[in-house]
Amino acid sequence: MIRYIIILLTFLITSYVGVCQEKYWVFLSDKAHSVDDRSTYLDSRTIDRRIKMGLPKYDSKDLPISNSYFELISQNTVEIKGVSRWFNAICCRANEDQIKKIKSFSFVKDVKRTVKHLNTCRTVSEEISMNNLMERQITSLEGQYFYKNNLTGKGIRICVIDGGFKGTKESPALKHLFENKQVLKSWDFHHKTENVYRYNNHGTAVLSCIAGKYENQIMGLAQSSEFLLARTERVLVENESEEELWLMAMEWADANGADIINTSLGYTSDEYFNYQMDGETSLIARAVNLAAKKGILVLVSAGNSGDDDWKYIATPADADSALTVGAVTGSGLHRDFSSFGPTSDYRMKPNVVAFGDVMGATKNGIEKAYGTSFSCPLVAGFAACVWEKHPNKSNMEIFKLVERSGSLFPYFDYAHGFGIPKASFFFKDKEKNPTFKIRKVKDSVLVEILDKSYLNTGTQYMFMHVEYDQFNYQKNKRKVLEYYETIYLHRDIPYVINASQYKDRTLRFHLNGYTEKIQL
Amino acid sequence: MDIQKKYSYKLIFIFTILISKIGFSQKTIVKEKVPEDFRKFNMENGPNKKKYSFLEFSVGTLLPIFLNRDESISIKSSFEYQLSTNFKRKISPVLSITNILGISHLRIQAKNIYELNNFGISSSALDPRFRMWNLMYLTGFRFNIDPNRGNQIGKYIEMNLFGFYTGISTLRYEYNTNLNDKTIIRERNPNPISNLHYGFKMKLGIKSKSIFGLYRVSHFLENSDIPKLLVGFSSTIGNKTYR
Repeated sequence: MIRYIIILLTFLITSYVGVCQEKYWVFLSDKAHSVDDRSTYLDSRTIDRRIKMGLPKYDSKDLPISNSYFELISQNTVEIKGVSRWFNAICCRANEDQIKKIKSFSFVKDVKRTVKHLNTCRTVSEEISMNNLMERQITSLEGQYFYKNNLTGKGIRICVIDGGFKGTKESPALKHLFENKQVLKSWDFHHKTENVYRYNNHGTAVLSCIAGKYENQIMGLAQSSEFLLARTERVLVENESEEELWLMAMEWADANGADIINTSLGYTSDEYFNYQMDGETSLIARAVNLAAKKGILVLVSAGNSGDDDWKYIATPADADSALTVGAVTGSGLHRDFSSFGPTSDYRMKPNVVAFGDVMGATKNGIEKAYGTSFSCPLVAGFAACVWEKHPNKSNMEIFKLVERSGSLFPYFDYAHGFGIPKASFFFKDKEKNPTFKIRKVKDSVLVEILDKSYLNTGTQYMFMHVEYDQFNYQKNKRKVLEYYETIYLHRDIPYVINASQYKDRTLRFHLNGYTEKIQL
Repeated sequence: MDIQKKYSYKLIFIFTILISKIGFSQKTIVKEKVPEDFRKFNMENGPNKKKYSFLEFSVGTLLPIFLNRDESISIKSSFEYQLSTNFKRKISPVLSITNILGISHLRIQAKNIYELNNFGISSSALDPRFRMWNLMYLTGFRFNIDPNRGNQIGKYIEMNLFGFYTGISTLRYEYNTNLNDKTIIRERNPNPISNLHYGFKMKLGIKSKSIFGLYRVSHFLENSDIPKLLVGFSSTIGNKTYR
């Protein structure tokens, strides 16, 4: 019997060898004797951006890591995978003995195992002709206002970090970007080459949602922006990616003068638990916050886990400074797969939403795609136009403006954020005529609908959330939502709520651009 | 306000409440309660919750090696297909108890008819094949190798004892006839095939995929026997956690 067990174990363990090798981030204590190459490393555009925002031209995080430290670390590893100036860290593959030795170096501050797997966003689905959808992905943002005012993201540099841009050069929906030399640089962080136009077409569809144009119909709003394309993910090959490559791509984008970074990825259960989605645990969430401090507006898709066990947002969408974008249906309601907020420390996410079903570019034309991967670049194009209109605003001011332009603002919830950004916000004052009236009658709250247009159109949705400012979850004192719902109005009667179950809470309602609250 | 008017207001109000509560209310289409504690949420959702079940499909092949003297029948390609519902009950982050219920189909092709003495088949018979439809139950332990790494199945080693009950078994073989034709004969539940099998199974998995080795301690047949070591591959089915 023992013989059989040994045979089985041998079979299993030999199959297991090779999986055990690990990658680590080695964080260094200082940048002693590092050669200051910042004037050549950073693009003049990066310096201009920082000066414009009142930031120092250079800071210590822009310095390269120490050469002598690098040499010592590389002598004690199997392979160096990359470095991070921002975090003063080296990513390497090493065995346990080597890691023990590395830890013993006085200049090593910390060693952490890296993330391996990526929860990719949904990719292109069936091919159908849907010009109507292509038009609606723009009109839902009221993009015509930007277009009429010649706001096309000019002067804004956008970096798209994705899993591959196969067919981008050939795509009829993107050829104008190459004809006008709007794609400035590209870098494949896996193969250390400029050729990002292979392996996967996810990035092609994403790019088209920022700047695509097909048969005179625009697919994204930033038609005149400049682009940096970075490939960090291996979507189809093995559904695996490395967090460190994404971090390096962020630093590359900063060095090359990006104003906006669009990233349609998220890490979830492969490496984390929901309670770790606090914007502090993952390195890339911290990197997003660091990028924001350097003046870059970072847009991240919320994730596609809304209908699975994970359910809530991924990282780096949990970063405080990430403009997190969820997905909605054509009716402006939460799309089932779009990940819900909040973060595990109860900050509001997603910030805004956009169409989750779009027409995306392919090598030969366009096809339907769905996922928060595509709602995110729609908003990235929108943000580029806002920035063009307000060139003197900082990245976080643009962040706030995009939020304020949301169709639901000041109402929000953890499925829709502040709603779909609307370009009309920047051109005309919205009239906020009351569309409903709230009355408290004994133990009930009555919401009387004044705007009866829904009785004719048949589609009217009212939003309600319950806010509790003594929310005590995990000793968290900030005002957070306890509950929220969307109500389909279809009868000529008031909406009634039992007030006793919401004692000491604030109820906030939103209908057709009008928001009102009641304190119970 | 006179009393009659006061009561009529009350009645209207009560009526409104009743009407709106019994099917004539506006329709709530999205309804979300925010978790009070995300740590607790992780204990109740996903592969790391206390009780977790999933569907699994496995395919394995009998290895044509003899580990015992009584395994004397040489075989050609022989496969087992298993479909099971796996129940995992977490004892600690490292250790879980597993209970697996399922069905399996084993198809064995023997190389040589002369070795099948037990069945009393004529030496001129060709291409004998066994088929067994089994109900299976496995129970054992699962050891999580990286318990603190994400809300996922992760890397694990699973060790189970199993019992298979063979509900239906068939033996099929052929004869060449004088007319250059073949006669196929099928015997249902032939006597020398045991109805009850037992043994142990070891599995090594990474998330939804795993490889396994299964050894039947019991005999397939009465005297001579078929090789008993099966190795294969498993995958969970329809589990959104792994997409």
